[in-house]
Amino acid sequence: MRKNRKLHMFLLLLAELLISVMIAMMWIGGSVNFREFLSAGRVYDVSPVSLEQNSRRWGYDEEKKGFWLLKKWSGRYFDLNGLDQPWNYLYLTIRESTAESLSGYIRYYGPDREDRYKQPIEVHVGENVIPLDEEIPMTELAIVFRKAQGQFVAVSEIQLRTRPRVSFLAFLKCFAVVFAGVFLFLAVALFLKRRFIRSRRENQVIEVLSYSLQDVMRIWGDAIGRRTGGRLYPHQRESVRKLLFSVLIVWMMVGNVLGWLENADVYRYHVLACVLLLLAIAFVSWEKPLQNRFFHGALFKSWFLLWLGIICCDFFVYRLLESLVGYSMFFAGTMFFYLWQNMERPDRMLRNLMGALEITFFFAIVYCMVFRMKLPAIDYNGMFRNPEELAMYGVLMASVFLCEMNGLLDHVAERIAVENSIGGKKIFAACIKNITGGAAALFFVLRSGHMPGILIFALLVMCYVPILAVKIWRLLKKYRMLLVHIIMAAILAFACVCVMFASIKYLPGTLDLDVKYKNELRLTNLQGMQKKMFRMENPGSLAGARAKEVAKVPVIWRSYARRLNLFGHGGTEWIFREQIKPYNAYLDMAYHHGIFILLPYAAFQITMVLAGFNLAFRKKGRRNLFLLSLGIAYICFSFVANVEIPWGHPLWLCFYLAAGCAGKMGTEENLGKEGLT
Amino acid sequence: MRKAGGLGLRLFVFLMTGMILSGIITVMFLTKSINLDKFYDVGAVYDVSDTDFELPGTNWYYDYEDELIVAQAKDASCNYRMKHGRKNWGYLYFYIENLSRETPARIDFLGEDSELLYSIDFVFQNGRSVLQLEDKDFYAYKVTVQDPVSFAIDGVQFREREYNIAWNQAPAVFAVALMCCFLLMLLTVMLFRRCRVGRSRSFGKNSWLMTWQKCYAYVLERCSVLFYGLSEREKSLLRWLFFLACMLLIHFSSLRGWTVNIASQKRVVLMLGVLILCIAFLSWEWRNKIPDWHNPLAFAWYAVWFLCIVSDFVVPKSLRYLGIFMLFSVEPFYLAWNSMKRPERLIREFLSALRWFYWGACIFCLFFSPLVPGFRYIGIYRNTNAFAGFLVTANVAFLTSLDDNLGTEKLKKRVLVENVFGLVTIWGFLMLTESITSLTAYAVEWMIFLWKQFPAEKKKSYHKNLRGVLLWTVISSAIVMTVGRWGITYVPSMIGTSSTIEEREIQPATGISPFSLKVEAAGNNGVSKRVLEKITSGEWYSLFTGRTIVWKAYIRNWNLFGHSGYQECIDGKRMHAHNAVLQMINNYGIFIVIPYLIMLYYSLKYGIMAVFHKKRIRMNLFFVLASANYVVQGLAEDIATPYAFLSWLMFYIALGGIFHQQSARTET
Repeated sequence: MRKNRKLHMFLLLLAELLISVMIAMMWIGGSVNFREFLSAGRVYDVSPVSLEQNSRRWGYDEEKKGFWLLKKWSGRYFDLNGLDQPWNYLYLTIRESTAESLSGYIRYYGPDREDRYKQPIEVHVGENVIPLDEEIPMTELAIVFRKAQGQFVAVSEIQLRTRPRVSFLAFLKCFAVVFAGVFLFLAVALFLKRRFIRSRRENQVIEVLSYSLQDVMRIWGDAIGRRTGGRLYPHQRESVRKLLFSVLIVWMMVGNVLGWLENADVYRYHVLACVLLLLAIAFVSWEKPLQNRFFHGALFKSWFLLWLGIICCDFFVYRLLESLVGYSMFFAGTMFFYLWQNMERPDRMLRNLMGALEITFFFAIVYCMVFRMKLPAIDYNGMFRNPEELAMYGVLMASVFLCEMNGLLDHVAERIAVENSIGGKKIFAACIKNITGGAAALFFVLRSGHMPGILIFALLVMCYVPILAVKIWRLLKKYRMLLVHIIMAAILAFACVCVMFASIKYLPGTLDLDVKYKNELRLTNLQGMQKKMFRMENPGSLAGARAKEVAKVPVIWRSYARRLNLFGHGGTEWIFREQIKPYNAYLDMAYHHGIFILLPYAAFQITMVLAGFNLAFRKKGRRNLFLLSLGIAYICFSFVANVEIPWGHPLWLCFYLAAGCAGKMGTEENLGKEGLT
Repeated sequence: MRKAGGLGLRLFVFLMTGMILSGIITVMFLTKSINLDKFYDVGAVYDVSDTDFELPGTNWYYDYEDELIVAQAKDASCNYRMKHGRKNWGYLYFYIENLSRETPARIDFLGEDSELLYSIDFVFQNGRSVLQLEDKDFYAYKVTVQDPVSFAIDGVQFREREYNIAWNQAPAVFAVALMCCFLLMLLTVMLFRRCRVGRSRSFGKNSWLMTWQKCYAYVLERCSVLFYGLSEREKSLLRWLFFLACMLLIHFSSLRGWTVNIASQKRVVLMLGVLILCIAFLSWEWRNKIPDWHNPLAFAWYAVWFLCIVSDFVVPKSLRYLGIFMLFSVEPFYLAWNSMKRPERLIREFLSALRWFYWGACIFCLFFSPLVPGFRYIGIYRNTNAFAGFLVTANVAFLTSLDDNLGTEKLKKRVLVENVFGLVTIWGFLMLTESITSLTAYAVEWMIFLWKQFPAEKKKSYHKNLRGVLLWTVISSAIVMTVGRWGITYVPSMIGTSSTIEEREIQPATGISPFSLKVEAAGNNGVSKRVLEKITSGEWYSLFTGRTIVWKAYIRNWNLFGHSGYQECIDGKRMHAHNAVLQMINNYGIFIVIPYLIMLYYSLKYGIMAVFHKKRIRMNLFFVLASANYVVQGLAEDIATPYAFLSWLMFYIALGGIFHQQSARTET
């Protein structure tokens, strides 16, 4: 407890924050509703992108970011959520206007643009709340301004609701009051607990459950492990592990690309295959009869609570896809950890994982060069279906190669210190592998055009480069050839990347082998006139391509935050008439598994980074920066990307599985402290 | 390796597997379609309910005495609505018998607003008439006969495809397929044996069964710490409470439909699992020796639930997690029970909880569920047969208790009165339900009880107790027939507490037809008349109250991994199979039939053996009664649907004790 006091304090604060958010949302929503705290009713946000599009009567001015009303009667249609439903309020926010007020009317349209009703309105600059006729349903709405020819109006938001909107300021006020109240309550409760309640019953229950689970894993692990891993030599085990990891990674990527992650009928088979592969890796790693471990560290507590929380939500919400990850990770993932932690040298598992990532990366590069063409003006998706996932993969591989490079330098330093002799060819080969791999990863990240990915990559490089530079500088005094190796490897890497660049651009088209996926996201940076010009120059080249719509992200986040509840939801939220993921892992988790899943989720991420930090800068044993860089990259992506892709992306797999390595360290330390070793 | 079963068992498995495989091949060959989701793929079939034919029309009525339809005048007609969700059919099969004379007839097919879509003329004649329909959706059809005639409709069936199965080829195809299957299986077995030569064939301590048991032993050992420090009495009380909670949970989940919604179903299964695990933790007594479950019953039990889990995974069910529930909750319970020094305690607590539940049900019936003259009594359920099933389940508790106490020297009067009164009230209620299946189960239970009374040498106290039983039976019968019957008929309405359980399936008592508008006094009808009617009808259909159509519908839909829910039977309504084996096949695929039948057989066998065992425990009649109750009720009622019936719970609880009996035998 003393060791994790800061973490516990942080978690307590986070818990208080979440409780306060929950109470404040229900307070504002006006009802105790655990299915949706805010009780916001139906809400439809008109896409911000459609508020930047030209029409016949509303001419869009790209410089002033607003519309010029071109006719005496200037109207514009807005598609709603596709259903014929009534609405109660229209929120029309006008950022700027040349007229003090604009008058006109709203037209209600049914299917096939059936004109149903006309409601007069008068709007001003600022937020306009227009009550709608709740009896009349509509599928489409038109805003018409009367006698406003030549006027300028900049509309920043259009939102339809069935219940009135609450301002963020009001929420903050309410939250502040509730937060203070909850703080007081928790303080009193903790004080009373310490003062009067000395029962350790809950600890006993946790202990019983933890050791019962370990007993089961031990018996099955021994029974199967003896027949699998027990029959292999150590080097065979490593080869098999590497092979199985590679198969698992490729299988996950294939599942992701083929859309199995969204198909309820196929997903369970996909997860089953992944689980079997993971268990196979675990059983292959069996070396000696298993022993129970100390599973009470912060990392493992958060691990158990995270997956148990997801499983628990499954008892309250019917979900097709989301719950499988909980069951699979809780049982197969924990089994994998258990066997990993019983290994003599657990770092070998991590090295095998990294080795498998390198092997699969090589195949991925070849695949992209031959089958996946880069289209002009469209961000590259690589072997995935969207650039974001490619960027995440690139960052993951960059951290693998940077870590390998760091390990190589450490290895060289050790060899110099011990033997004063170095295998020059091997080091040169390793330099080529790591530098070329890193360059290829950088190439993918840049090609993806995913700005957060590029920034995270830059952050990792900024962390690694000083460390590597210092190490190289030190080594150069004794081993000058290293610089030559590195420069030559860098030149070779540049050449390789040039080949990749050219191949990806021309080879698949030339060979007519270009593979296109179903539901692939094609993003372009071109906007407005640029896009028009490009289309004119290359007709058909931007078919199906979408502009990067950063403006949508806050609306998406708001839509997800609005639906937060106690036990989560199934599926994805419908926003702008389509199912859109939240572009934020915390919102994703809170939306799917309830708001309180954030507690173990945040705890897991923090403890992972802390464990990675310890592993990177420990005094005894070989240091490894992979865990730290992985943790940082994952957390950074969590804020801006859909990084939670269960059994679908190598970054997701590596992040959660690497906890096994971090856990080993904590376990050894704790066992020592508890006097159990 | 010690074989779990003898040659007979292995031969049975071999034969059944071969027959099932060749059966599948045969029907696939005959239907000319390879469809693992429906072996006998003859398209959709809609059997029109026979009650439809009792509807009156224009110059058209149903004569209840002769059971004939009478067309009184020329162009008499009758309209029938399509109750099935599907409205487009390929063929109409009309089965007519006892036609007074042949006559031209016409069938008009009507649209949603009763507009005429098209007509088909045909000759009304005895036997089967097949009419090809047009590719149009119709919502009703009108049968018109030209001349005044009388006839009986034996059945009306709409089919998606024409029924042209050449059944005469079936024996030859089946024989060839059977031979091939046997050869293939023999070859596989030989190959396996050849591969295993030279390897250790001893499962011994490392067998998967032992590993599985060891896992649970460790878990039980650890978790029993949670109840550490409780006295035996407190443990007994807690176990009793948990059993009662299980029963209440099952009852209310079936009554309130908690298992319909997947999320609430998960909660029910979780609660049930936790309750049973708690009982296991309470009962665990570590003896450093894992019970020997190396017997066919245990193997069949494992096979059933393993297949169930596979089927659940491949075809998500409307009622799920049964395999997981059994393997992860009920199995530790069995192990804990087997570890007990005095296993009869658990039986006593279970049966005591059941008796308490029954008395609670009686009070509910007395105050809240009135008997309506002319209708079969529903009691605490929505369906009269379900209530009857519950009654025969409660009967097991009273019979076992009576059997256990009859030999005691100082039999407490309270125990005697409670048991006898319980048995008499059950008989009284059962008569009101008129459920033939449950009555059969009831008779079987009594036969087993009486059979057990005969062979053993009886002491003086036994005869004394028996006299007491007879005396109290007479007194109780008098009370039940007079005060009891009056009470459930009038008390709820007198004090205004008649409850309304939603969606009750009210069924008229024997001799009362829903369309006849003829109400007889309740006393003139009853079980005897119902049984007589069924036996004298001379038809399977009447004997099983239309269940043959349901069974046919289920057999038609046999497949490899089972279906997600019930099948569409009469009038396109989804209903349970009215047979445990068919229900299991429907839920979990055709191959579950092999271990399931083995499990049923060995449950009965070991139940009987438990009675004669040298080291028999007290209340040993419970096992055979519970098994017999399950098997007999399972012949024509829904009992395999999980989490719905107390008979289901009782059977799977009793299996644990039979595991123990067998293990005791093998240990000695």
